[in-house]
Amino acid sequence: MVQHSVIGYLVWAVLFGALFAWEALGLVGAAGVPTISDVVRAVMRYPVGRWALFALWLWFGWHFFVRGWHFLLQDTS
Amino acid sequence: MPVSLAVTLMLTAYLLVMGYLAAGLWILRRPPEQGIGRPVGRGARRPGAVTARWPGAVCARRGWPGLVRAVAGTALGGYLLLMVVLAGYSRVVARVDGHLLASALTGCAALTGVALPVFFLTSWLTVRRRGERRSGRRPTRSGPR
Repeated sequence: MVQHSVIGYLVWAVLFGALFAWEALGLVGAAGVPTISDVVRAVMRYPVGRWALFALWLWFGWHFFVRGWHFLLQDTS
Repeated sequence: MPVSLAVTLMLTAYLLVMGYLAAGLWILRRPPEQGIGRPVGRGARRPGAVTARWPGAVCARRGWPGLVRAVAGTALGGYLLLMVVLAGYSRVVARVDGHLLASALTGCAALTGVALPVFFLTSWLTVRRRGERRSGRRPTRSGPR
């Protein structure tokens, strides 16, 4: 297993922290700060927006949980 | 993974996500138009119906046919969109053999088959609860937005 430096993990922590902090600002109603839900809801009014979101969700599930398996989710090994 | 491929992948993903969010922000900040559709807001939606400003963009049917059409249409459209993107990626960008695409076709189909009943059930429950709240049969839940 490849050893990664702690700095690498810290960078990810800072990025996710910033993301969650921005979302928290939107949730408490800070002026002019939409939440991710607000933005996604606006796009999901249209079919293409819903298709794109479903495709992203489907890709996420396939890539992390299914990819490399065989059909009907069986691992032949 | 080659550096050029990694950079291309991440840049493309970033641009797609940013484009999606930018579209949402643009829609949010656009002034409500008169005519085609009603202004969209939390209190303006009828249960079981979806409205939009673009003519023919979203169905406005109610009841079971509308719900089935919305759920199945979303799943089918999303699946086909993903297949197009993955086909383009596997043939043009990564230039790998057909195993990746075959895995995507079957794996995503299996995932969709598993998720579709749950998706349908939660959509139905959401619409039903919204309708009950509007008719006054249930108290509304207060909370952030």
